[in-house]
Amino acid sequence: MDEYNELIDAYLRDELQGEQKIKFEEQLSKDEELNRQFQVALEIKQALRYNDLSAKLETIKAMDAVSSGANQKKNRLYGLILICVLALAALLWYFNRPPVTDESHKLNDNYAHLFETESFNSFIKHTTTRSNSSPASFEDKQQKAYDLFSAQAFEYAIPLLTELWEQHNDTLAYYYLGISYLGENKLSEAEKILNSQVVANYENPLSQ
Amino acid sequence: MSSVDDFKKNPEKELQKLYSLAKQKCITILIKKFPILASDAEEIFQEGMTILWEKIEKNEFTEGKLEPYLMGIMKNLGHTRNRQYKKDQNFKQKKSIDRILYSENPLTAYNEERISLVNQALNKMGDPCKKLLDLYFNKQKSTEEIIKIMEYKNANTLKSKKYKCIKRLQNLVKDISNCK
Repeated sequence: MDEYNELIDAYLRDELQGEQKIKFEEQLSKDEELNRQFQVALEIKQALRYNDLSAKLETIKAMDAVSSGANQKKNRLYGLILICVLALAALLWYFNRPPVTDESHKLNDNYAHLFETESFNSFIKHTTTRSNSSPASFEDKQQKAYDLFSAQAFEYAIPLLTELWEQHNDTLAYYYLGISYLGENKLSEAEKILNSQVVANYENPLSQ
Repeated sequence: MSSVDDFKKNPEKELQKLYSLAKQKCITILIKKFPILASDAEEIFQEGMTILWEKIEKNEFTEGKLEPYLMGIMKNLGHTRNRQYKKDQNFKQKKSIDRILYSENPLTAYNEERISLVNQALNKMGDPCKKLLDLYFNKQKSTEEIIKIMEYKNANTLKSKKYKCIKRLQNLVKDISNCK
């Protein structure tokens, strides 16, 4: 009996090799008592393994919940860190932002007085001579451009005045364009026009 | 990447680490390699992790990195599942544990009814006997290791305890089956 047990145990623990294993399997098919004892041991082994594997599988499946929980926590943490970094960056930028050194704003301060109603009216020369005679449609456009200039709506007047100068050589439009650029704080464009010979007949606001 | 040595020091922690790191990658590879659904791939991944754990415990995988070894196990499981899906639509309905046992050896018959009966008896038997039989038959520990773990005097004590436990278990199985 003891010998049977040792052989069965060795077989189930994969300790029998080669010829020993073949011999045991032959014996198993012939010896009923050995086979009966073997079946008992095999059932124990299978039941224990089945149990063990089931427990392991359950543990592994439970890791999914832990893993997703951990990922959610990690994502929340990353989100929080990102918000903090952005807030910190915004604060750093706010306190270290460069002072406003826009030259055009200085210009505006320097020439602001020119755009007060009384001074500005002295630049309106609608009644003065124009360089060209024009068709009716041109006069409408001209009127609109001049009106916009008079109303100091420079942003809208500039494209129309540019067109009058480029297409019809309207020198007054060119003069108004220079002043409009000054009003829009575009000093270099204003200087180029107002210091040019084309508008030399008109008073130069830059020299005031 | 974790190794067998890291695993042996702290199995649960390393398994959790491996689970979190490798899951998405493994599932993606399985879906690309086999015509299976993501839910199948996830099951294969979990079955693969279970087999890996068992193999380390039984010293069948003794050195190297865990992830490539896990990938090999999963590819085998994927092949088995793919083959079986073509032959047998019921394979889909099988429990994960049965699929693991099938992929290991399709010829080994597991009589679920008998296994359930033996398990009931094992649970009734209590811890020392159940632990001894588990170490001996399932974990396949050496005689020296079992003597150390169970704090027995020598190999003869182990032999006699094991014999008594098997006898007790057989009687319990008989009792339970008679009651049914």
